Amino acid sequence: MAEHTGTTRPQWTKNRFAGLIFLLAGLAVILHAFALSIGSWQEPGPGMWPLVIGVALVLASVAVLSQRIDAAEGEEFTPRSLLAVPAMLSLYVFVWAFSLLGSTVPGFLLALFWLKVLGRRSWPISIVVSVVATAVFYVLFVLALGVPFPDDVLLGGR
Amino acid sequence: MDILANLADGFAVAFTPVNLLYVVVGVSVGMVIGVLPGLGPAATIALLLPITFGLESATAIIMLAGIYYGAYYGGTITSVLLRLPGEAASVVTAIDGYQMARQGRAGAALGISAIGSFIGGLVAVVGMVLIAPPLADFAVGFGPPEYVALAAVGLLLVTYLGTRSFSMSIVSALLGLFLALIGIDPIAGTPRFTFGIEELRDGLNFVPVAMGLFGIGEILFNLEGRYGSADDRAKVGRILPTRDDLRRSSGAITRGSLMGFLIGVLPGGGGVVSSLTSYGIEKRVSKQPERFGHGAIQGVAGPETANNASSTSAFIPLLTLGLPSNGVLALIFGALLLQGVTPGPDLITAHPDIFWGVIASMVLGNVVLLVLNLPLVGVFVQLLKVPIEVLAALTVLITMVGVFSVRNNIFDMYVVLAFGALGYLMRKIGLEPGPLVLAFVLGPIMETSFRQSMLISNGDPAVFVTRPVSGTLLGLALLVLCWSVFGKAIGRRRKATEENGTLTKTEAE
Repeated sequence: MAEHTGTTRPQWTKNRFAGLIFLLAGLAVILHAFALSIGSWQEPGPGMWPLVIGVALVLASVAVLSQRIDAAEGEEFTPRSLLAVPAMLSLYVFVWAFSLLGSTVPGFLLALFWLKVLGRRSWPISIVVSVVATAVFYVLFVLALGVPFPDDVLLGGR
Repeated sequence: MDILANLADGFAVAFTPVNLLYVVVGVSVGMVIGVLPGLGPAATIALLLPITFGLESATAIIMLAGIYYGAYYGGTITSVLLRLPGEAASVVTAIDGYQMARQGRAGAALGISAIGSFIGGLVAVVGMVLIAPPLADFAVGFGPPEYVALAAVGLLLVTYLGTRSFSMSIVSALLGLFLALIGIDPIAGTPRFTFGIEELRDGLNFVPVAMGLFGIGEILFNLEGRYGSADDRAKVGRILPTRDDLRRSSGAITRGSLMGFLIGVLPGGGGVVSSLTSYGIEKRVSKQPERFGHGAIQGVAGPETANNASSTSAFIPLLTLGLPSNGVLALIFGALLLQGVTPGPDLITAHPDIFWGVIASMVLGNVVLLVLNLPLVGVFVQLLKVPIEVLAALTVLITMVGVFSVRNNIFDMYVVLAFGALGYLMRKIGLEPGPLVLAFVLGPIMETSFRQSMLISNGDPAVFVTRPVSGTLLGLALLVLCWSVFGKAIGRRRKATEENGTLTKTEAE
């Protein structure tokens, strides 16, 4: 493998990076715990338990920082990892559209996007699966389980 | 006898048409997702939580339990035929099972694992019937310090037994404990870590957290295209094991049943740990350890029996103490909470239909699996032809719509997104989501018990070690940890000397 020499360093940095984030998170938890009032041993305040967790988090992140984690632990980021960005964006847009337009149109578009764009399926398969899935979920959740979805742009309110 | 009468009631619950239907649905779904790589029992149970909401409590748990042990049956099929473990516990099965398949004995490998799993499941059910009620009686006397000790020991063992590095698993558990803090403080009523967001005052809901971490996180991870092909599939061949196969695996099945049962009761013991341990034991016990890795039937029979036995006995701590022992059981705990049932020592007496119904359904489910498993192997393998992209599209849609349906809440949908991203990143840096979810569930129990203990003892932290049960538990945990740390060091040294020994021997030759 050509990139073999390159793989050890990014792996190392990634774990260090993660450890650093946990360390900062732990310190933030401790700070917030003090702001909440610790109380005493006799009468622990709302900050006592967060303090325990914050201190443990700091200790654990120091342990993470101090050791080199086996390279097999995590997964490398690859160019295909970038797909996670449009995938997340599509879900974000879906939530927003769902609250305005109900489940049918946004549901169909979300499934279509995942099948056609992210999944590179053919048009006929993508359209058929999206239509069927949207219909099945509508029947299951709205008609069978009676979940009050937001008013639907196609089918109107109930 | 009392137990028999209760068991009969349990079968009456399990045999109602609705529950019968859901046993079959549960184990079938379990087998399907066990076959499909990438979608494990945890993700599936998380995705189905909204649907269980509308069911009776006993029915919901019967179905979810079926998914859990059904997945182990399904995972075996792809491990043996394709060396593609559908879920983690089948990884060891892939070693010898796939070798057997290459020697044209795939059928025997599948047959013996189905039989072994069946026996292991039954042994665990019997053990559960005998152990759970007295354990629950004993646990009724537990006070807050015992619960702190149990939860702490449980979390420690789960992170310790996890497949990833110890410190990273601890971090994952601590993140879970932290996330459980968000919301109103249970005793004083102060809002904590809400970042000024009104919706966070009630705390994070378990369902979107689990669905995000396991469902969306898993899908994002699979988007990168890490799946094998079903092309190089082996022929199944004769399914019924020969008398010789049975004779050779009987020891492995017996040991696997007992060991799997015992390990399953321990926190973190269900699934992977039991199958790995069983494989290790069988290799050590065998007179021909060199056959392992080259199609030894004991290497399939033992682990498969053990993982099914342990997935059954893992229900004991949940149903008697109210403490889930691994990530999947944490999800089932969440499902019970959704039903308004808080699992604890009084569950057996307060909700006998759940306890005995679930036990009886396990017997039924194992029979169904044994009957379904072998004839339908071919059908299940065909499932691998469904493109993963289609599954992903369907899964995101059901996740997003499903999470809304639990509380009719748009905010929960954003929570799913956030935890989907977190789950994806955690996987990337090698943090397991299991300990996080478990800790998230245990967090409130631990905090409340901790603060009550302090109040009871008038601020003396020694209360955790002076009370017999909590003291013993913490002591045992310490002992186990020390023993394994030192044991590992000794083992490493012994291995080193052995290697030196063989080296000098070869040099002498």
